[in-house]
Amino acid sequence: MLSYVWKLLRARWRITWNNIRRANRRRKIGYLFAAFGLTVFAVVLVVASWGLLSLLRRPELAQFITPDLIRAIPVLFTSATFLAGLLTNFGVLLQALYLAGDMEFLLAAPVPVRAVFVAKLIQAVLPNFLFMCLFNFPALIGLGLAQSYNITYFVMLPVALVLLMLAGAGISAIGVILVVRLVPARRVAEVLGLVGGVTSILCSQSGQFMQFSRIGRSASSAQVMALANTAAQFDQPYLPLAWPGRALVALGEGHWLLALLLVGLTVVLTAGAFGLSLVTAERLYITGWARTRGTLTRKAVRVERRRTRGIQRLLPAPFTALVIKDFKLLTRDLRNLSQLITPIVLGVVYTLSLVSGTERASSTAIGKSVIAYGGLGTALFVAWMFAARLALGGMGMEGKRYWMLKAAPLKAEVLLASKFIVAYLPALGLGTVFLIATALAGRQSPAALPYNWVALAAAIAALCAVYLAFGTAGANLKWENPSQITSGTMGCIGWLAGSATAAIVIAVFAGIPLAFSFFGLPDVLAQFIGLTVGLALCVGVMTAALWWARGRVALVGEA
Amino acid sequence: MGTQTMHDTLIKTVGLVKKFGDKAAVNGVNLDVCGGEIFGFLGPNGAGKTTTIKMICGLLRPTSGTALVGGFDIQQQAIQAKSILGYVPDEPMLYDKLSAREFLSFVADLYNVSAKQAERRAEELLKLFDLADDANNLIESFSHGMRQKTAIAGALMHDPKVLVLDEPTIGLDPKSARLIKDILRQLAERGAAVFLSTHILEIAERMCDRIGIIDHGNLIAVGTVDELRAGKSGQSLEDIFLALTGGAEYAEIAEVLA
Repeated sequence: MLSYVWKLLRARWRITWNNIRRANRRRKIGYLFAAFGLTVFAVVLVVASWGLLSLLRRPELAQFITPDLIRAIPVLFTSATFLAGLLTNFGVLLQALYLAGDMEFLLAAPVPVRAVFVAKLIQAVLPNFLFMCLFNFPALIGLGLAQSYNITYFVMLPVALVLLMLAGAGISAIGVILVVRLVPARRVAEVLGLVGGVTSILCSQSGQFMQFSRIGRSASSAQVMALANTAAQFDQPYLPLAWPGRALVALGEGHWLLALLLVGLTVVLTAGAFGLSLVTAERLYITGWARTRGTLTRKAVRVERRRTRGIQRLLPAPFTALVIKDFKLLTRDLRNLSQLITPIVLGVVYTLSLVSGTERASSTAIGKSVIAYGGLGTALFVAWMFAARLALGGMGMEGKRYWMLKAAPLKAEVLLASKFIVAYLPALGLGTVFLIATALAGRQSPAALPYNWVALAAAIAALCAVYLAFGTAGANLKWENPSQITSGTMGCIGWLAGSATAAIVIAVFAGIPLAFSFFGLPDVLAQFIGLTVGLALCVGVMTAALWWARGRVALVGEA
Repeated sequence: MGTQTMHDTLIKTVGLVKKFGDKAAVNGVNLDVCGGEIFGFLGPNGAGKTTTIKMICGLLRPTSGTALVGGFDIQQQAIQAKSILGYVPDEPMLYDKLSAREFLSFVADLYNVSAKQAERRAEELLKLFDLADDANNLIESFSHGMRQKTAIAGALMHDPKVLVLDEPTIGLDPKSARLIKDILRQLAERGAAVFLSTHILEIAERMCDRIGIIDHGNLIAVGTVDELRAGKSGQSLEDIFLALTGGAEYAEIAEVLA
């Protein structure tokens, strides 16, 4: 079996090497710089952890940093490695084991299923493992140097990390195999994408949430140290998760008998977990995979009457057809929804942030103006992210299905208009909701609301036009992964152009009233001038962007 | 279009060239297909068939030359040309998250088919292609053959005058393949021009009124099967094809391997 695993991994290595070797010169230079940068980063991390941990061992810090805490650090790292292997690899293993394009070829060849499973597992988890090692490995080497551990610690360190990753990935693979027997693999992938997106954005904003709930606002140093020492409580001899880390410490400190026992237990446990996954794979993997090859569970959609005919009397049929089609696809594919949840979550966070500052700022005239027009900024921020996602990827989301639109008698203007509306309406809707919510929560004067809404509508229109233009110019129709929809260069330039547009537009719409307020001039006059200048600017930007995009539509889909 | 007669030229290419870098994938192809005719387009792998088809349908811009559909330049008068054109690619990627019925409705709207006609036509085509029971299921649950049939149904929604198909029978069961052949013959009898590429020479020999053979980007032969035989009676289309494209010598290698 090992020879087959080696053959499969070697083929994968050859593919990776071919991609590198045949890359253009710019990309090769990029790879070299990346390799150099990562090496430097690892060395810096070793030195930093060595220095930091040496510092923590000083007598004057001993009352805060106990030796037990320092000994618990390897336990924390090894536990994190195992848990990361268990949790983060579910998605990649799902993709590798059930959604890879070469499975039929491999399983039709005289290759043991176990070998295919092991090779796929290693291929799938290797990138995550290497990424974790970029942090774990140097930090633990630094710890070993600071603690003056002996050579066996350093030898055993990579072995322990590999075993833990394999064990975690093996158990995760069992989970994947069992789940796929109940739910189609593609559906699981869609749900995972949604859950992952929501989880990551919630985690990234957890600091803001904690601030609102006043947790951790004024933690004393004693509380922080108590928290740190609590972490050491996980270093318990009866916890299997602690054994690998304790084994490393025992080796480093030269407690050979204890080390032998703990290393043995670690090997037995990790090998056992991985072995269990191999046995499970042989029994369940191939049958589970074969089920996914059959017809997917039929999912009927509700038959809709042609209600749109009323609208179509007013608008061109191709236009409404494209808009309806895009809205259906966006709502039915969970991978799209996961990307759209991010702006909603961020909007809630920043709205709360703005509202919590209302009380302090409401005492002055300029403060009241900031509150009145600050809601515009928050609403535009949320709508901006929606617009960027939908407009920048509007043309590219057609993907390999674009041939239908290219072969159809479809004017470029109609296609662009439909993509514009698909991006504009949801962004405007969401922005309006946040605008009203901010006004109500902040008890703002209603006088600014109409102005803010018109400004919001105009600003989003300009942003959608800019993003759509760059999204059309850089549309990548050959994507397999939605993140590849917009090609690198145009995507970056599009983001920059959109950001610049947003900054200028908000400076005009909010800046003019604020400036008038600062000088004590009438609000009505401020709004009139702000609207005049802002609308002219937005119309100009829209016209230029869409005119440019119109000329680029014919080039979309050209080889 | 209404004034065109059955035998008017509905597809015409003049000096069609497509280069990718220095390589000429299509090198000056001149052909014409009349209404009422089924034209078979044959060639070895990589000969330029799909590239030619994509230029005829307006999916690729030629490096030089023109392609006319129904008398309209596909590049300069794209809307008019595409309005009468139906196209089915070799690998029809469809919208997975639409049902078959929704997909046909969408295509009907793209081609400005009236609502009543679209509904009637969709039901007819779904029934014809045995997709009626799955009409409300998402396309992602369809097999390859079902997707192929859905794509062909989509191409027929607007009753095109010109139909271009790239390997239309791949993945179809014999019943469906026969159905496609019958449909194409009926379309031709009603005055449409059918342009299809295929690797299955038997289909080309039986169905096609005329055949064009392309090799290394050059159109090396055009005519009826009898014209291509050029007096060598008894030769099959396969023999003619291999003789023209230089594949006959591989038979010796095949004998050695067997």
